[in-house]
Amino acid sequence: MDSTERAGPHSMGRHQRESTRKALRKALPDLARSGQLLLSDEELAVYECDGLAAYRQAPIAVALPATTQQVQSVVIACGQLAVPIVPWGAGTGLSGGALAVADGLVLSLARMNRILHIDYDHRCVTVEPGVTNLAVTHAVAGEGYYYAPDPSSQIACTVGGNVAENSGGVHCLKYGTTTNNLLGLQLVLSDGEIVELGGPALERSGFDLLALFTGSEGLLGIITQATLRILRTPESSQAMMAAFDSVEAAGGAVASVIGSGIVPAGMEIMDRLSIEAVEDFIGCGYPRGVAALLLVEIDGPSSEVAAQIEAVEQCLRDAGATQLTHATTTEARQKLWAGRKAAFPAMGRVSPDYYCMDGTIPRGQLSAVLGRIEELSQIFGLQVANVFHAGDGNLHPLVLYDGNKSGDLEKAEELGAEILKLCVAVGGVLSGEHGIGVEKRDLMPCMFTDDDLDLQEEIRDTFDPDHLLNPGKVYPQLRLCAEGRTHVHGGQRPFPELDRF
Amino acid sequence: MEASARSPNWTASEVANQILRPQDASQLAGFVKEAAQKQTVLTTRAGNSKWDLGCRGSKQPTEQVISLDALSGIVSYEPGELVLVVGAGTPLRQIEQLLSDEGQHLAFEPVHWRDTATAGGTVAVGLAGPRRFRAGGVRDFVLGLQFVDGQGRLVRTGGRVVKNVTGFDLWRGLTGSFGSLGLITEICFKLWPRPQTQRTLLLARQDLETARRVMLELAQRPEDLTGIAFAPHRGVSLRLEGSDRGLQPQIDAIARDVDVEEELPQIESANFWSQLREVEALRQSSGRVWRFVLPAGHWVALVHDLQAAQVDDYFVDWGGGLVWALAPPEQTLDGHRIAERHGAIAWRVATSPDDPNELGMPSLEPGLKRLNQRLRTACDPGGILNPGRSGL
Ligand SMILES: Cc1cc2nc3c(=O)[nH]c(=O)nc-3n(C[C@H](O)[C@H](O)[C@H](O)COP(=O)(O)OP(=O)(O)OC[C@H]3O[C@@H](n4cnc5c(N)ncnc54)[C@H](O)[C@@H]3O)c2cc1C
Repeated sequence: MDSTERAGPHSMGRHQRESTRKALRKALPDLARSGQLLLSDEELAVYECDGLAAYRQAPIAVALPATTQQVQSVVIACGQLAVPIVPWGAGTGLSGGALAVADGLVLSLARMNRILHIDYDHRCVTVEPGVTNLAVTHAVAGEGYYYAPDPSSQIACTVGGNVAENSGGVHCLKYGTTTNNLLGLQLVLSDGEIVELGGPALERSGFDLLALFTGSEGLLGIITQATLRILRTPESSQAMMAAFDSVEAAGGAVASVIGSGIVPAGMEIMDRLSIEAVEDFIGCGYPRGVAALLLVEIDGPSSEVAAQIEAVEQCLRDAGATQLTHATTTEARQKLWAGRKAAFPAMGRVSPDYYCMDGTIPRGQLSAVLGRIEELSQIFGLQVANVFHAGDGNLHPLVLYDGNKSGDLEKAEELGAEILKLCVAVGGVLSGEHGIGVEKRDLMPCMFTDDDLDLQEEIRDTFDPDHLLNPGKVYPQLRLCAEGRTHVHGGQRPFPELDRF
Repeated sequence: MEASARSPNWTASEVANQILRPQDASQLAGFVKEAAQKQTVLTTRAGNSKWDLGCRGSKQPTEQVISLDALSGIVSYEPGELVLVVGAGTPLRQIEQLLSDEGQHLAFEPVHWRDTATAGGTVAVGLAGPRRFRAGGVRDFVLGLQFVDGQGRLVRTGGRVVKNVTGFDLWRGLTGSFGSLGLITEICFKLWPRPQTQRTLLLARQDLETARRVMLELAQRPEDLTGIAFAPHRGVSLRLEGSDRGLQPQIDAIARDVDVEEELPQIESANFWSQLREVEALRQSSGRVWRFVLPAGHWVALVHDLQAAQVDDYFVDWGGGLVWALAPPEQTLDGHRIAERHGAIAWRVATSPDDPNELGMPSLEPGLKRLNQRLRTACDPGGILNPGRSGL
């Protein structure tokens, strides 16, 4: 695989790189003087990849602005020099969204990390984009508040990255993703204009541009401030863990909980491979030898939680739970979640490398999809562990491979692509929360028609006609749904009985 | 093509005009494509229940009216997925009946305004009810849309699942756009279980400033408060929703901290909030209705300005974040100017189908206006879809 080629068609010779660096230094003297413009190869190596480490490309420069005005001057300078800009938060993204382009500059927002304003009356916090997700909750926890979207990477990932990816977490079904918890943004557009959208009022005039910019993966503007909605910490939170003989049975339990009219704060399923790996890794007390675990968390007013937890327990028993564990104290609850949150790192011990997929499916398709993933896993000869945000249908199959083995990465990627196409074929989507980035851009035509994609790209063109911001991401270079790679068995496509769209 | 039946809310000239009534999305796409070529301006409607919202502007010489009411029907409903897909012309009443049978609902509390409201109009106008401050608005419960853009392309955006970051969130951008970014043909809604029961607590009357403080404090409480409103003749009212068992302890906890004068049982409670949601009292009086959306803590200051302009009939919803006011018929209120002073946005409701309501929507500051126009240009390069209706 040639990863530099994936980052974009551009690449320039050593001489040209040096002259662009010189021009940048000249155009941004203040940043250069104060050490906010990195130009040496050693310093740039840190920015060679984001959380999707299989793709690597060092930028030509990194800018570390500390104010919106500095962001603006970087954008204007890059515009004049035709140097593409890749915004960078903490680099934890899992779709190569922050992957540098060969002749481009990485614009890191890490130094803009102040919490600017906390307004309890309007239950919102205004922060700079480099503030980490967890720091928002920490800033308001003393007053009994928290910020709901909680990606597992929350200690490290930034609010800017969260907004750019519309990140979720384990509480999305009840509390939504970033877009549902965002009230305002300040942005620097590709022409250097600074704009403010939204604020403490619940609605704004004009079109809902706030929604359009959220999840736009750095293509429409650089986020320089965000106003986030905070919520009151629930009076009570309780969790329950249930073991099942099959993942299907666990999926059935999820459907029956939702069917009973309860919306849990979180519902997560882990399969056998993940459970064993987690137990080996941190030993958090998960039962061994079971096929699936379902974690359910209920929160709200104490009286309501008490009523709901009884109903949930009944649903789980009826659905065939073989073991039930209640976590009523905060410590016990955190211990249950610790295992789930350690699922990714635990895989790192089972296998030299893993590739995390992120499709969303209608919940009712769970057992069909898992069955097919199992088949694909055998065809490709790679193990797949499954952790699943079961409440909202967001599936995270982890494809285990060994990057040192020639051909393994390619196989993993191909298997991953098959899984995502499967998600789309059953009525789901390519990405639930990790974004399209470079990783999935060429799969976009599997989900969208040419007209769909044309309109999206035309919108992008009106905001960034020269594709200065994060070029080569999200939208495919070639509009083919890579169907040639679908593995056909006995002349059948997967799920021939299902409509494709 | 088929001329539609006469509707009481249409002006004589509209009825005289032929009204196009596409039978499906691709026929609609054909009409729009043709209109784009001929630069015919298109005005759309379905149930026409919100004809009095948004700007109307003066009539364009080439205007063509399209009714989307035939794009009606339930495409799919899977209660276990909490997802409903409907044609844009599907009557809201039909949807609510269907969902209620399964113990589910649209949690943003769609505003009917008139009996004929449809799903598409609900999304295009984007009006949400009392639960807005807690549960979210229309935009938060739309998972995907199919629509026809200004070039006549039939486009899909979003999907049928809650978590989806595949491509730009255009479906949210179209919500509340008054049909001026695209003509919605199909909608996928996220559903929510309907709370088993509800109660309303009416608090003892207080002065405005105390009421404002109390409302802000209530909004920060841990109970499931899904309505916090104020009216000058009635004081503060609260709605709690939940299970039969879960509700009473919450009511008791609130009653320990505030002075509850009366408790409305389930049916009365539901009626109370539906009247509020539909702005019934103000809309039935003669005069000019205004709507203000603002930061919740600012409503008293706004009300003082309204009172100074002899506007005394108003009520407050969304925990303070929404004010509806009625200016007497003889009064020409500049609601936009008042709104600006309090970080609010104002809508003016038209008084008759012939009222162009040119001041219906707020004007945007130049930077923001340019940004909005860029989006509009991308979606509708010829500017033929409901031009001016959204105020842009
Ligand atoms: C172990 C692990 C667990 C994870 N768990 C979750 C999870 O549970 N849920 C989830 O949703 N994600 C998860 N992620 C993915 C990732 O953490 C999120 O996508 C996160 O929001 C990225 O934030 P970041 O600051 O690291 O952004 P980066 O990775 O630096 O950037 C992500 C994208 O945002 C753009 N960007 C960054 N900052 C800005 C800005 N200020 N303005 C404009 N564009 C910007 C970048 O160009 C890039 O396209 C996980 C990742 C890891 C490594």
